[in-house]
Amino acid sequence: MTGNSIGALDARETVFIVDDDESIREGLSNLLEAVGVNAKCYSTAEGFSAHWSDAMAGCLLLDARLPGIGGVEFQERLRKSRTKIPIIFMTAHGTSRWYAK
Amino acid sequence: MIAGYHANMADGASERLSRLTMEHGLKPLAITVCFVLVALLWTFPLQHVIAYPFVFLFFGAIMGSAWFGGLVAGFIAVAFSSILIAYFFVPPLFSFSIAKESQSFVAAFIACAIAITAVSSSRKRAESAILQARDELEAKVQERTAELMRSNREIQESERQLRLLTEAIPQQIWRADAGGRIEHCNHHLRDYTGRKMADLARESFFQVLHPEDSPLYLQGWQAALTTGGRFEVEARVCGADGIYRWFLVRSIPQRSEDGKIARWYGIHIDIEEQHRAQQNLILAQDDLSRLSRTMSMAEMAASIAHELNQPLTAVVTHAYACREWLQGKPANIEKASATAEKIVQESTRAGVVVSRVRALFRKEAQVRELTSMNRLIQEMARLMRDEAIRRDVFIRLELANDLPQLEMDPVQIQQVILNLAMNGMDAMMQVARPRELIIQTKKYSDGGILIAVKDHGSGIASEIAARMFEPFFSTKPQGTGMGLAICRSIIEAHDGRLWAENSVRGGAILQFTLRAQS
Repeated sequence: MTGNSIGALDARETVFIVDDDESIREGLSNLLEAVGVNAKCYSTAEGFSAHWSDAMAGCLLLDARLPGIGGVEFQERLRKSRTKIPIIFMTAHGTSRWYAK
Repeated sequence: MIAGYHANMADGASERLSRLTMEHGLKPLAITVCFVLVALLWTFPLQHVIAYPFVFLFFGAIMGSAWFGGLVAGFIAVAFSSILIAYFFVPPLFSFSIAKESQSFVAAFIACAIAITAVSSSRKRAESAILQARDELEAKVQERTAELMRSNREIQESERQLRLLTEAIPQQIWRADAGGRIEHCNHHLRDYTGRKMADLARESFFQVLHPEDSPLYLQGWQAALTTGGRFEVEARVCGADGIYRWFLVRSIPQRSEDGKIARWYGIHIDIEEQHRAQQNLILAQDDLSRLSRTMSMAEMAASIAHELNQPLTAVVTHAYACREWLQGKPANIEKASATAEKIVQESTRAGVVVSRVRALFRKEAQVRELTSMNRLIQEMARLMRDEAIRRDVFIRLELANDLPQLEMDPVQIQQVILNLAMNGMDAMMQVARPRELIIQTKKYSDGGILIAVKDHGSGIASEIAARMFEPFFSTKPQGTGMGLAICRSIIEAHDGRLWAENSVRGGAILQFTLRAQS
């Protein structure tokens, strides 16, 4: 992970971080900033939805367990509303059952 | 018919009449005639030898007549003899008249004859009465004897019935004398134990009891014998096949009229099945509570892990970012130092979580009670008895009796000993019987106590010895790995020391010390 390799991304593209834990959000955005990637943080899925528009581009770093709408549920909603954005799930509770989902 | 009936009646009356005539008329008459004629015939030749009129043989005849024929015959004999004497022997001879000078002689004869008749017949009557009384007595005796024999037979029969009953009842029954010595037992008890009645009657009865149960049995039995109360105890009894089964032994005394105990009646009821069912229930409950304990521990561990994971993840991410800021060209020192600050913050947060968890465990109020270690161990050995039996382990207590009482949390210390004992029993699972677990107490330096739990399993391998007290280290598939770690922390909280060593005689010794309070 060097600044050069990720710097190939389009400047308009942003990594959207959705996690309820502030230290996780801060750490990730700091790391992404250090490698020259735009990052935006949200504590809930609803917050991200309110901000999102189809004109935006990038990817979503989604905590699997969220207060309110859960990560998996949110993915389902995005799929139904035909929002096309790649999602990377993050979880501290990795179980085989969860992976199957 | 009627005519016949009358005829019969007439026959009966005449028969009775003829019998009466025979009895009271003809028979005495015949006897008298015989006796008197014999006397007459003998008197004829004898009168020529003797100068005076010889009449004494007639007295004999009268006596005999009165004896054999009764009073009537006696009087007939008197009259008959008097006439014969008057005719043949009193002058004038061959005439019924009596010379004047002989009248007093004849009168004397008649008086004597009457007296003899009276005496003889009354003697006869008395003797007949005695004879009759004797006969009656004898008859009565015979009757009584028969009665006695009949009632004896009845008693024997009812005893036989009772015995059949005791033999038929599908329980082991015995009867003991006032001193508790077995006098009788039914075949069920003999068959089960495979011992003869004579063996069971002696002290060796107690040999059929399990050695662990016999002290309790003896104690209860002695108490019952002295107080006369009912006796009830559960004990294992050895069968003829050498296998012990649980029995409920019950006995009640039977008292005699003066209130003293005459004998004891006892019954052995096989409760092996109930006992096993009860044990299984306890084990199931035990498993359940162990499971729920493990569950709550797992849940707690998960929540602690999550709490710690957040700041630690942040620390790692910040550390990566910090490296990126420093490796950039040019290096962004400002961003790097801000990131380093974040790392410090997050690490501190993780530390807070750890100290919060520790505080949570310390929150439980410390209990310290003055406790007798031996009593604690005895109580626990009783709790473990069934488990030990199930595992075929004999728990032997070697307790020093000069131990001081120490301040401790009895529940926690019991937990430690239980844990060590369970480990010891686990270690002997693969060992051939007899399996023996020794729990020993003795004095330790400065008023302390040393408690040792010894098994004779395979001992502790050196690679395990180094790690056995570590948390989450277990050699058992179902083990949490927390047992010995918790034990050590409990003992250390008591200012004691817990350690393990291998015995020179094989097996492991887990021991801990407790110090006297300063």
